[in-house]
Amino acid sequence: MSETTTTKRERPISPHLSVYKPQITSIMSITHRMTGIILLIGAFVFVGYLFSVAGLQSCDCIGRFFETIIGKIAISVWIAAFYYHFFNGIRHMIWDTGRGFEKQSVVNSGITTLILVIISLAITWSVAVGG
Amino acid sequence: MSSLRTPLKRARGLGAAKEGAHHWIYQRLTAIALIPLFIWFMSSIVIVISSDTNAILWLQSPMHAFLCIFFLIVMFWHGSLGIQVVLEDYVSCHAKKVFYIFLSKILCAAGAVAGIFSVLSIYLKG
Repeated sequence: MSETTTTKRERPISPHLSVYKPQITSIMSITHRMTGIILLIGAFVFVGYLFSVAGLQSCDCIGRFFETIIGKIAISVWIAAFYYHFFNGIRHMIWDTGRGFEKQSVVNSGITTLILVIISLAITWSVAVGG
Repeated sequence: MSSLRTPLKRARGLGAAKEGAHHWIYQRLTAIALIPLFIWFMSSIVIVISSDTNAILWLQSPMHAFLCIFFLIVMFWHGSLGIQVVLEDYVSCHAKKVFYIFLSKILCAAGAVAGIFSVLSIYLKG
């Protein structure tokens, strides 16, 4: 019985995320998850938009929300999250082939991903606003 | 498509949960399908925002309506697989975990169906 009480004691747990210095690898990993959740929320809003465009509901709440400044910020965040999840997802698929796991190449692919996101955002912004 | 697992693997069974390979494979398959669909979706958004066309005219083209339905199916499928992993990782109470995963699957299915229904109704009005 003494062994049972021993196992009930506080066991060591891991990982202790708070003791680690934030690194490009860990931050980009959690950002991939967060952008995924943001995009799933966006998917439901997109469906709500399609629903109102189809005239299936009397109030065009989402269409009007997109006209507001908060709505425009939300769209920008979704587009940014989309680009991030897209490029980082491709990075994940390259890892799935067993390539690019060396410390330096993980950092390099992370930086490449971020640069691609910024370039894509800039192009989208200039076309959408200027075009 | 369960044939993507080898017969030997199926005969032996897979660890304690008896699943995982299926989830992993479909997460990747839907992700690969989403690459061209994402490019189509993003360029469509930019075109709709920056030109005189609007979402109704856009979805009254058969190709865009088809791609939009395809996109909705694959995206909600990928999203439900993704949110499942997040719930598995962060919800520690087993009963709650099972319930939330169940709920997320139903919501994703409902989202996809509502989206497909809207696209079809816009397309058929054109």
